[in-house]
Formats: sequence, structure tokens, C-alpha cells
Amino acid sequence: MTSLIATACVALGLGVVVVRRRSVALTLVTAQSLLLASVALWRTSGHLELLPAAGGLLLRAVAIATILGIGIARTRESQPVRAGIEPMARAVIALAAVLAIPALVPSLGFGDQNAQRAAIALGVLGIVIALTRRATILQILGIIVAENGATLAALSASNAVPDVIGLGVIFDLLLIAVVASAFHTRIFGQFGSGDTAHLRELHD
Amino acid sequence: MTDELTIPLTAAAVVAPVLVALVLQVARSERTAHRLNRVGAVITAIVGLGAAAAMLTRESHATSWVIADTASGIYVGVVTVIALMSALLSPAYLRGAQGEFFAARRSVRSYYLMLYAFWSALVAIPVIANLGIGLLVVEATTAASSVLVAFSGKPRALEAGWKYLILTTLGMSLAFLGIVIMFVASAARGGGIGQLDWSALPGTLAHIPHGAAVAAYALVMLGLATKIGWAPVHNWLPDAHSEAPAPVSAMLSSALLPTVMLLAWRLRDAASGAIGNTAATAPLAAFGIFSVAVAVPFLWQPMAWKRLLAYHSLEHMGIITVGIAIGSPLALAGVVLHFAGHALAKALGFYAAIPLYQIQPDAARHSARDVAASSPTTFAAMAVCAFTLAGLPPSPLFFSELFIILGGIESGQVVLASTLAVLIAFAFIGLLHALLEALQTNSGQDSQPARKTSEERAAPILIPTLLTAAALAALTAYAWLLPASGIVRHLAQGIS
Repeated sequence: MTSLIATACVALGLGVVVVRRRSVALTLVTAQSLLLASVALWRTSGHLELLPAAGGLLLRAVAIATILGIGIARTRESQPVRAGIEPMARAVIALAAVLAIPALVPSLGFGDQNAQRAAIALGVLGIVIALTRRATILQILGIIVAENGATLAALSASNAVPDVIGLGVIFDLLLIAVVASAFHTRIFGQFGSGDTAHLRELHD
Repeated sequence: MTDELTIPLTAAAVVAPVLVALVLQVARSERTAHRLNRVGAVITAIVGLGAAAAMLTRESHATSWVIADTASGIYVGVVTVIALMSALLSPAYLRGAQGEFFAARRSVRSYYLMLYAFWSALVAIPVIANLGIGLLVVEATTAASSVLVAFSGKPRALEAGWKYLILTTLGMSLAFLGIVIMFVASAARGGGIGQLDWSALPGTLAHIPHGAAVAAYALVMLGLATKIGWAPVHNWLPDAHSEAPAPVSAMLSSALLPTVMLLAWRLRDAASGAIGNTAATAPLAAFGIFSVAVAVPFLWQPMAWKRLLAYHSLEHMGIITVGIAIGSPLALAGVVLHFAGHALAKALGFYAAIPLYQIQPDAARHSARDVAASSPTTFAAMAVCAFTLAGLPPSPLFFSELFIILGGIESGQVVLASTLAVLIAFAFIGLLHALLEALQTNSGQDSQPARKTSEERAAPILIPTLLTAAALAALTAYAWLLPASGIVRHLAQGIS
């Protein structure tokens, strides 16, 4: 895992924090997922046992882009859903979290410290995206960014994460993407928008 | 029954609900689906209870996929009973409800597909021999159960289901990061899924750098916390439990939360050697006490019956967690008793909501009133549930709470035990308040025809109420024997 790839993954995640349009955010996350899949495929040269997991990552990137892309196409918003927090403020929050939290975490046994910081940064960014964005599709993308953090960590290891776990996580994420997409469609059908601000009736 | 039969029977208990779900998909009418559901649920429950009996009566053993020990037996047994009751009461719920999440023509079949998939996953979690695979199944439960939560398709149900889906999936993402850290840090030991087997996990954690072990433990525990609904990561819990169909609410509260907690319990036992017992137990004690403390103020407020029960789930999961954290044999006897008693009583409380919401649609948003006058059967179910959950003697929860508190004092954890005792006392008064409200009469006596209709609607919960009351009485009687039993002896030896 080169520093360039780790940095690119974090930069793409930061992009999702600030962009307005769902389709642009989906493009950024798909690029991030494909980048990680290509790293996995590159590692298979001479290690064919890594092929199932790498193929799974590629399939995951394409399938999620397709599922969510169809979801976006079927639910055209008259204007982009506004987040509760302005883009600049979101960027500042995300940057502060990405710089501070990974730096505070001690060495966890990763040979490559950049990979460790990037993995944690993506986990943090996933949470920031899910908490600060109001569009349903963007909240799903927050989860995928966080999962990409775990994928990046797995790819930085000299030993492979077993296929049972790797492929299991991919399967679970696809399942969640399908269910989340169904929710998105129902929410849009109910409110005429995929804005989670409509989902604020339940409280005590 | 031989030991060799335990593992195949356990596997059958996981597979049987999936087969029933598939068979149900060929039903051409709702009526046929309900009939197939009844037959399938009983057959599945027989297999599940057989597996639980085998696990409880035979020596603990494990393969690379399945662990069949005392804890698995207890959890599979209770999960099976709750899932059976939920499946059998689903027709009563579905007859009075409109499911709009799915297309109308396949709404009932889709409901059953998700219900049985959920049942299968709930039986699988306690018997899976590996932390990583256990977490995968926990995440899979989210897919099935979030759809069930939103089954009605109403805005409030969509909100509850969405919140549950996003928060718990985000939590599980962190848990998987913890799992990856375990693999990365243990590169020198080679690889392999076997590193995460419950039997191998103590060794795996002991041989990785201390900081990595602590970080991995914290991330996995945080992920599990979001799914268990421990405070402060419990936001989805009151919403999902109150908006889900009543049979599903029962499975969420009585089966899902404690079953996922079993993973946290096994993980604590596995990590104690590597990161120290104090560090491994502290998060459980903190989550447990904080959950009870957060729940108490809500138990004093007048609120809709199912929402009140949801806050009780938060409280009771907190009590069970504190019992696990204390960990003495007496406290563990309390944990077992509390888990079983809470599961039965809480499930009955949710089933009571089926006729309650048909008789008083307002009760879905406001506290129930006049129930004793309009439907004595519904009120009886609510009363059995409320008296049990309040821990009034002879409720088994009176003894379980006593065991946990005395277990804490006996093992020198006086502050933890005393804090729990004070919080339980406050919660007790809150629940009695809710029950008295349900007794209050606003409009005098209901007319005879109206009362007859109400009682007809409550008919499906009459037998479950009688059976649950009898089972709770049996649990109370068993409470006297439990602390000295082989079950507690096995649990006290550690379950990883």
C-alpha cells in the first residue's frame, strides 16, 4: 500500500463530506472502492489465493455503484438536499477529525503507519458523513467509506484476512446496500424527497 | 441422545427456519401462508429445543464452526421459545395491520421470509464458534430486522427502521475494523480464520501488541454496543422497538439484544487474560450502569405501552450487563434468571400490544388507559408483564436482581452493586405508575358488545398469557436451585 493510494482514499472520502450532489458523492466513493479493489488485484500477482477476495472487492464496488446509481436515477430531487451544516463547516470538522484522531491512536502493529492513519481516518470520515449529511444516499455512502477503512487496513497487512471474513463482509455490505436502497425508495415515495430531515417525528 | 448428535441437531436448528421461509414463499394465499407458518414454526421449535436440550445436558464441545456449550444451550432455548410465540402470533398481528413496505400481493410472504431469516440468524449467533463469523451474522440480522421494523411503511416506522439500519451498520463497520486490527497485528502468527475461534481468541489477543489488543477490543465492543443498544449508543432502540410489528418487537427485545450481548460476554472472557480483567470488564460495567441510569427518567413519563417497554429493554439489558461484569457465580445465576424471565415477560408485553392497539388505536402514541375495563385479557397480559419487569416478588426478576446485587457485594464490588440497587428502585416505581394508568377508567364501563369485541380481539394472547405466567412461576421456583446448579458452575468457568 503506497502513501499515495492511502492519501487518495482519504481525499476522496473528504470530497464526499463537502460535495452537494448525490451522484458526485457516489462517483467519489466508487472511485475509492475501485482504487482499493485494484490494489487487491495487483497483490494477486503470484498469489492466486488472494483472487477471490480481490474479485469480491471489484464486484462490491460495481454492484454498489449500480444499486445506488439506480436508486438516484429513480428518485430525482428537484434540488440537492441541503445538509444541516454548511459545506465549509463540514470540511473543517472532517479535516480536524481526520488530522487529530488518527494521530492520537498509538501504533497498532501496522507495518505501514500511513496505512494505519488512513484506515482510521476513513472510519472517522464515514461517521462524520453519516452524521452531518441529511440525504439518505449520502448516509449510506458514509457507511461504505467506513467499511473502506477496514478494507484499506486489511490490504495493508502482510497476511491476508481470511476469505470467509473478507467475502462475508462484502456480502453483508451488498445486502445492507440493497436494503438501504429499498428504504431510500420508500422514504422518497412517502415524502417526495430523500431528506432524512423528514424523519424526525420520533422523540421523547 | 449421543454427543455426536448435538452438532448436527444444532446445525438443523439454524437451517430449519430458512427452509420454512422458503416453503412459505410458495403459498398462494395469505390463509395458506398462515397455516404453513403455524406448522413450520412448531417443527422448527421442536428442532431448536432439541438442540438446546442436547447442549444443556451434554459435555461442552466445539468444532471449527459450532460451539455447543451451556451458554449456547440457554440462549438457543430462550430464542426458540420467543421466536415460536412470535411466529404463532404473527397471523393475529397481520390480520389487523397493513404492511406497505412491500407490494401488497407479497406483503405477508415477505414478512414471513424476513421473520424466519431473523429467527435463523438469532439461533446461529450463540452457536457460532468464531467471533468474526458471529459478527457477520449479527450484521445480517440488521438487514432482515430493519425491514421488519419498517413493515407498516408508515413514516414513523420508516424513521425507526432507517435509524436502526444506519446506526447499527456504522457500529458494525467499526467492529470489523477491530477484527482487521487483530489480523494485522497477529501477522507473525500466520493467518487463518481459526485465530478468531472462541477457544483460540485468548491466545491470539495475548500474542499481539497490548495497544493493538486494547484497540481491537474497544472497537469490537463499541460495535456490539450499538447493536445491543447500550447507552449512550442506544438512540435507535426505543424507536425500533415501538414502531416494529409487535411479534418483531418481542424478538428484538427478548432475543436479539441478549443474544448479541452473549458475544460481548464471550469476548470479555476471551480478552481478560490479554488486556487484564479490569480493563476488559470496565466497559461492561460502565455501559450497564449508564444504560439503567438513562432508562430510569423515561420510565417515569407517561408514554405509549410499547415505547415504555422499549425503555425497559434498555434498563434490563443494563442490569444483565452489570451482572456479567460482576461475574461471580451468584451474579451469573442472576444473569441467567434475568435473561430468561425478562425475555418471557417482555415478549408477553409486546404481544399484549396486538389487541391493545386494535382496541385503542390511540395507545400507539399515548399511554394506555381503561384497559382493565375494556379488555380484561389484554390487561392481564400487561399486568403479568409489568409486575414481572418491576421485579415484584414472586417475579423471577426479583430474585435475579437480588442475586446480581448480592453477587456484587459478595465479590467486593459494593459501589457498583449499590448504584444498581438504587437505580432499580427508581425504575420499579416508574413501571408501577404505568400499570396504574392502564387501570384508570375515563369513561365508565364499556358497553357489553364493545367489551365482547375487545375480548375477541384479545383471544389470541390468552393462552400465551397463561403459559407465560406458568413459565415465570416455574422460573421463580427454579431460582432457589440455580445458584448451586451445574449451569452456573459452567458459566463461572468462563465461556470463551
